[in-house]
Amino acid sequence: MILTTTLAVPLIGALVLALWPGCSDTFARRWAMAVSVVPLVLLLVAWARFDTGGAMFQLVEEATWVPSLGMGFRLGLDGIALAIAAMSALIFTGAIAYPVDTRGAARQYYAWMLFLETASLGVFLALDLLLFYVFFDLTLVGMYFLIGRWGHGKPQYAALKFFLYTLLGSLFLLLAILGLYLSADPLTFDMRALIRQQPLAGAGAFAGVVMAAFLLGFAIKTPLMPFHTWLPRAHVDAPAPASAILAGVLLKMGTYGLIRIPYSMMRETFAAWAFPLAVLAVVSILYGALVALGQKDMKRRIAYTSVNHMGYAVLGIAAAGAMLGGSEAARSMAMAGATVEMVAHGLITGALFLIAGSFWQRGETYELADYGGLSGQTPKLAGVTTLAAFASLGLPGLAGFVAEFHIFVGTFGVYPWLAAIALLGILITAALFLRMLQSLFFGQLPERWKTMPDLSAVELSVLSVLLLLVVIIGVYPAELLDVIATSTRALVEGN
Amino acid sequence: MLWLVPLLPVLASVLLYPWWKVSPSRPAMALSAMVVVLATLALVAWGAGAGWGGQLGWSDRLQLELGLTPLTTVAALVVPLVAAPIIGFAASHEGERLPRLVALMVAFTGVMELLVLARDLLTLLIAWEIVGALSWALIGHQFQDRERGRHASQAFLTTRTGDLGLYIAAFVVFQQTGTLAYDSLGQMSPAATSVFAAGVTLAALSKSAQLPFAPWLFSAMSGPAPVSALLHAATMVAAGVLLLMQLQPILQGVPWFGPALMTVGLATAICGGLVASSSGHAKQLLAGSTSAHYGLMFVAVAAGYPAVALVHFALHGVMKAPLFLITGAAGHQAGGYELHRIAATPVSRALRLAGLVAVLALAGLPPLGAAWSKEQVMAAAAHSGLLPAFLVALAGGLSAFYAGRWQAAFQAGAGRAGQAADADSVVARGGVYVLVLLVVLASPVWLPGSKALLGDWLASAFATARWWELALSLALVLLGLFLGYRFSAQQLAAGSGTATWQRFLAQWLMLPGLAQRTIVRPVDAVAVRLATLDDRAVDAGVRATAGLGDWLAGAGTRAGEWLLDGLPEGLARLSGRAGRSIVQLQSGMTHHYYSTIAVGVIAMAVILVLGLLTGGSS
Repeated sequence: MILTTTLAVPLIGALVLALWPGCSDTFARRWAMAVSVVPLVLLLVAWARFDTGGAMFQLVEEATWVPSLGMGFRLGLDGIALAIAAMSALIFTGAIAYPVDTRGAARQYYAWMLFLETASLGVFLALDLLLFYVFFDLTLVGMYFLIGRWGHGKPQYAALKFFLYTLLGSLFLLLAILGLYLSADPLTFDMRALIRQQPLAGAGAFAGVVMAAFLLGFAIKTPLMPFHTWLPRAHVDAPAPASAILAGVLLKMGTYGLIRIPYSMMRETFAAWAFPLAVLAVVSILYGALVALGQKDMKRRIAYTSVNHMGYAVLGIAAAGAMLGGSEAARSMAMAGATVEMVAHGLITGALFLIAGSFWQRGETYELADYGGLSGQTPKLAGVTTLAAFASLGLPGLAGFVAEFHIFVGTFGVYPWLAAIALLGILITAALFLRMLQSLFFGQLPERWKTMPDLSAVELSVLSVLLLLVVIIGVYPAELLDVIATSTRALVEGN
Repeated sequence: MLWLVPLLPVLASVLLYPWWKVSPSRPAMALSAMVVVLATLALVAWGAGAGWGGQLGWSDRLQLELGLTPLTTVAALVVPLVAAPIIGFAASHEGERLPRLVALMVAFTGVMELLVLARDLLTLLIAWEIVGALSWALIGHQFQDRERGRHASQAFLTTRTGDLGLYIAAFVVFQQTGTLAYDSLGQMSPAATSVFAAGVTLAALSKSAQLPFAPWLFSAMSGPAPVSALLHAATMVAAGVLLLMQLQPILQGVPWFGPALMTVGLATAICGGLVASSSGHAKQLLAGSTSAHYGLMFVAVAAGYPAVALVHFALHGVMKAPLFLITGAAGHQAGGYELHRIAATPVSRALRLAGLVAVLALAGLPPLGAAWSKEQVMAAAAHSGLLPAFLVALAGGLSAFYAGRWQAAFQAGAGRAGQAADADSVVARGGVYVLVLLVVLASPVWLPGSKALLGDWLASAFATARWWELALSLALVLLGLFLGYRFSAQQLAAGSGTATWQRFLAQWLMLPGLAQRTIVRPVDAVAVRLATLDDRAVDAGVRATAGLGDWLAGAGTRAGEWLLDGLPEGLARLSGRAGRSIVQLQSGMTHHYYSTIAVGVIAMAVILVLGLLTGGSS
């Protein structure tokens, strides 16, 4: 029941807030924080119970729903889902705790946050395709309201665009899911059964169509160039904690879905499509980095680095699925790297967006040129930002490096030239983050920031927890890699 | 247990930093920092005797490994030995944000130890890049000046460009052997070894400031003087040489490796010498000379004498560090590092004497130790032909020339009136004297028998110099010293500015401008253009989505109404409810939204029908 409870607690928490109009802002905030800790703790318990030598899917919970159609309420975890779900729960706790201007509607804000948490964790815990899809779409609803009501700039426009574009993505996903479902025999939405069955093996053109729909759906969510255009607007106008969740959790659904469905359930077709996908990933890596370099707005710059980083994750997944046999060592590395990238990107970019929010709270602007010389005025902010920026540019000793190193080593064993080209990405990200640090923290302090306060205790503790994990994973990722290996053994090596 | 060596300084700096911040007593800070670094030195010595090693598993496939070889033991001893006095000097002499500066320098020493002790490419890469990041923080220490931030980034980016080579090298090794350990490097195919060699050489050349990467060392001058001393003498810049020195047995099997490295090393030694000979800036003079001397070390590695490179690294370190510190003290007093400013500033007698000893070692004048190792480089180069040997001798002459220039500036200040520049405290002065004492104590390497002793200790060969090589070299050194001193003294006395050719050379042959024009600006331009393009694409995407929505809405009204009514189940109901909430929010584009939902429902229906049909036929 541990997984069901994980999903139920935030939902109940959200309902309490939704149905209790009289509750005060302070209570709503404290309540949400307390509730959001529960899934985190439960997932850590799940982590402790997870047997790294055991089966791929563990802690399975199952209830029949419409047996004749093969639908069921099925939850469970493999190593990859566990790692990402635990990271997501942490990001949610951090985002909820982070100070934000709730515009007098704290109750609603926190209710939507908790609702979004259930939906997001549901995506990673679902072992049933239909359930997966429902949660996948519900996240859009939660995020839509968070951006639309608490965003700045042109929030409603941004929210609707985000909604429409990603809904278009989930439309393709739905079509693909149905295609896959209808090819299964017996009909089932059970992911484990579908992975065993490989329903579309040898299905020719139809398998290709289904694969294309899956890839399109997940490429929009991830997002891969050229399907990323919904991302910057949504990020810039979203409130910072929502941005952190969007980048830290929601984007992962694209890459996680890629591993969970097309990679696992359509091995043969995926192998045939791996190379073009890898090429698209490399294009995303370089394009995302270059466009980020061209941004003058802090939040947009961070947003575009997501295109770059998620490109690494997709590259790793494509390399891991590039063939059905051979180069197991390299392909396992690529898959492990892609998973670590998801976790690392969640923590690092989550932290970066929260930091951007702290800048907004203080200065109401994201323009890099407006800031300067803050090293002396706000040393804590400078220190935390520097650490997060170096983590994002892939400095060893921090989580991003562990991820990228695995991905590159793995990809090099399969597509050496693509790995070598993608490597240029780490140079461009280095340039763009260093320039960001230069404009924020170097130079003379402008008159208007002479009274800027440093990070508050809450801000500092949330960021410290996120970045401490980044350091721990960077120095000693064995624990994380061990959990992930349970899945790569099954997914890549086939045992 | 060997992990203690890098961990001690890193952890100590993290733990001591808060204390240093609240009790900014200089002597306490200087002493505690030096104790940490010297304790690291003691740990290395102890560990070498006790045969320490270290392993840490990341996964089945990736293992981090530390170990000591005869060569790396010496390097691991030299690093803290040179770093301790420098850090003591920094804590006693530097100004703003001192706790940060000292903590970073102590941590830097630890990470450099990790780099030296690494026995696999992953550990190496980790240390290699962290060294770069810490140097960024140190070079940009005085953040109020935007230029320094730019210089710090330039240094980091230049060296990271080379780091990409190390990444590629690691990929090749893993692909070939399934591990990253140094011990397995011998199993690679010749072609793979060649790629590996190219990667590590690129990384080493960029870190050790060789052509064409050399100019980053000029940018690195933006850091405080003790930072320059630390980077040049004992840590960052040394990384490249220390790496190739260790890998030389593997790399010598690659046919192009020796000649290519020899060429780059000699070219940098000569160019660096010319740069230092023309620069009007004392720190840049020393920076040019650093590139030149590391060039000589690469020549030794290329000729097959890694131990010679190691000895020259050690002796260069103990002589270069005090030169930077003395220059720092004088420049501090003079308000700038230009030679003519320093020439106008009196420097205390003791510092001048210490500087004289160190600068003669830089010139390569026997019987100082650095002169011996330079002769060894020449003898090693002579194995590859007369031209290399002659070029090494010429580089030695240039070294003497710019050493003479440096000395002339400091000598000129001797007679001036006013407050004499000096290191502020006993600890700071002590640091300089200890380093100079080490320079003097190295002289006995000239004694017969030292070569055999060193050879045994390092388990490596040394070259034998011929008498005419020594004679030529000594003649060039004396000539260089005389000319350099005369030339500079005259120029300073006349107060004449630098000539055009001097400015050209002093700017590293315009290389930085070239890189700016051919790489940085084009990339920036592409980035800005892509950003604009992407912005437009964003709007195009919206317009397309909206247009699609309009069309669908129309189509939906015409044909799809009955279908919508007919399928009021599951998803549609859920979405409908969300849709109504959206109406409360705003209503401008809702028809798009509804039409998208409609497409979803239609699609689902089509699939279901298709499914029923195919299901029926199977």
